[in-house]
Amino acid sequence: MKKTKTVLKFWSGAYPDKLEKWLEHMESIGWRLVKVGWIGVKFTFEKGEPSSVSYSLDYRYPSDAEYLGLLEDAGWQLIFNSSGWLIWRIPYEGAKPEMYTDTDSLIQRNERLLKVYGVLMLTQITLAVANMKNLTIFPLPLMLLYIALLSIIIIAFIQTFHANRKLKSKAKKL
Amino acid sequence: MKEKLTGNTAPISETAYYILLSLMDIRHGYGIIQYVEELTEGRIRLGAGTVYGTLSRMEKDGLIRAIAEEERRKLYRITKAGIDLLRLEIARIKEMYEHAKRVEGAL
Repeated sequence: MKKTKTVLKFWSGAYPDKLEKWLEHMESIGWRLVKVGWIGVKFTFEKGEPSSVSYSLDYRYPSDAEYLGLLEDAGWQLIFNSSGWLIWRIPYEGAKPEMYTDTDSLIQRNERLLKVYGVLMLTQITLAVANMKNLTIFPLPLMLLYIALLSIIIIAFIQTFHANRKLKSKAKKL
Repeated sequence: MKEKLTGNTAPISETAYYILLSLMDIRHGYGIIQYVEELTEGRIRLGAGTVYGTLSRMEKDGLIRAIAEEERRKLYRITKAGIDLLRLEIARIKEMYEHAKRVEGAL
């Protein structure tokens, strides 16, 4: 029986490189990612040899067959795919393979995300306003949960918006 | 993107340039990555995600066309509009090269 460990890790889609670097570090000290569960926050690792693995956190909804096929052709292994979020890994020797070799693609990824967050925020806020007069029928814990979820969406929107502005100004330089 | 790719003066990105070059022959996404890596002797290794995104945009802009689908792969070829753009780009690169030669000796 191989030694395994499970880590809870919360991440933001606005900063994919943070999660990617963490997973790459784990591989470099011999912890190979084998499973991601619980809407993407429960990471299960298996102990093995230290190795060089490149990770990529992508967002694509829906992810079509051509996208999945092209990435697999190029050697990427899909380890997590849920509600538009995909975690890919690729072991390598020599130069590190990257999923995206241009800034434009990353900007477009963020724009797809902002659209989704925007729609979620608008529908949620509309619903909240429409239900304002019935507020008293909702139990408090449910209300708190609702507020927490809405806050997460708003924070994600703001973070992604900022990250994208940075990328855009980077793309303009030279 | 349309503006960027089909405008008369704006240079296209190196990624777009090499994808268009590759599609003078029929190729699928991964075939493009391999061809460009070979052609540039390993200097350019296009990211698979970048290639996927660029192909969809180019198809939308009418620069390339999917001519067949096998399993999960789409096969593409450059269109007339794509060739026109490539011609402009090659003329621009030639001009840049001539200018470079003029000053090269003084470097």
